[in-house]
Amino acid sequence: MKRVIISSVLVALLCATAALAAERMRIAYSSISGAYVGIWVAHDAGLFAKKDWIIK
Amino acid sequence: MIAATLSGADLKVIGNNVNKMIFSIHAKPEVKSIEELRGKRIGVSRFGSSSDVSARYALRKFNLDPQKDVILLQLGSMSSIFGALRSGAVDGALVSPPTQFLSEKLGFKELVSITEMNFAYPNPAMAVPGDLIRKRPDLLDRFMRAYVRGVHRARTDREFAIKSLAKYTTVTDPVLLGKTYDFYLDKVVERAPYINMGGMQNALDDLARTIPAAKTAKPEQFVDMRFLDKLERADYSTSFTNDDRWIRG
Repeated sequence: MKRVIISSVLVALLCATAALAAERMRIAYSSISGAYVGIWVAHDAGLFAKKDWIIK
Repeated sequence: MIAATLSGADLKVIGNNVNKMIFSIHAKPEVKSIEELRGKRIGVSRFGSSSDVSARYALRKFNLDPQKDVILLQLGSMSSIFGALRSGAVDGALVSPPTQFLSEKLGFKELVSITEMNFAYPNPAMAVPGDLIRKRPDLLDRFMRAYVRGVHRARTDREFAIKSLAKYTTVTDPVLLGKTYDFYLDKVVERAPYINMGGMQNALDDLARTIPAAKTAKPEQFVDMRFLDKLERADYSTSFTNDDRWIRG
C-alpha cells in the first residue's frame, strides 16, 4: 500500500455539482519533483480549466 | 498502487509522467566509492518509495546487500534527506533534482547516477480510481489532453515552466531552476505519458520480494490504456502547433 502512494500520482474526482459548470478534480502528488512539471504548467496555464478541446 | 491493487484496491494506471528512476546517491567528498558505504547509513524517503527501490537496485548492482551491508533510513522529504546528509546524520543520500544540483553545488560527491543506469520504472505513475474510469471517462480524457498540452507548453515556454518549477519546488536560485528544467524536459519527462510495460514489470519484480502475489501478476492487470489510445488516435504525439488536429466542441 505504501509503495503505491509514494510512487504514484493519484487522480481523483472530488466533486461535480450541477449548479456549477466547473468541476473540481483533486490531484495528489507524492513528492516535490520536476517530474510533475507537466501538471504544474497545465494548472498554472489554465489548461485543466479548458473544456472546449475535444479529440477529432 | 500495484501493491494496493494486489490487496484489492480498485485503481488503474492511465499514464506515466516518467518511465525511469531519477536519483543519484550522494555522499561527502571523502567517500570515494559506493563500496565505502558498506556498514554506513543511507537516507531514503520511505521504505517502498522510489528512492528506496532505487537505492536497493543500485546497491545490488554493486554487490552490496541492502538488507545486510548498509543501514537504510527513511527520512521523509527530499529536504530532510539532504539535511541529514549535510549534518552528518547519514553517510549517503538518495537525491534528485533540484536537490541533486544543490548538493553538487555544495560539494557533495555523486557516487552513482541511477538516472544514467536507465532503470525502467513508473516514476511517477498516474493512478486513478476504477470508479472514476467507469463513471467519468470524459473527465479523464480532458485531464490527459490538458496534461499533454501542459508538457508541450513546458517544452516550448521555458520561462513559464521555470516560474512553475520555482512556485512548486520553492527553489529560488535561477541556476538550479534552469538546470532542473533542462534535466527534466530534456531527459526524463515523457512528451506524452506513455506507459513502459517493462518498467511496470520491474515494479512487480521488486514487489515480489515482499508480496508473493506480485510474482504471478502481469503488468497489464494494472493499466488502462484507453485514454492513451484515444490520444494516440488523435495523433497527439506530434506538435501541437497545428491546432487542426484538435477541434473546438
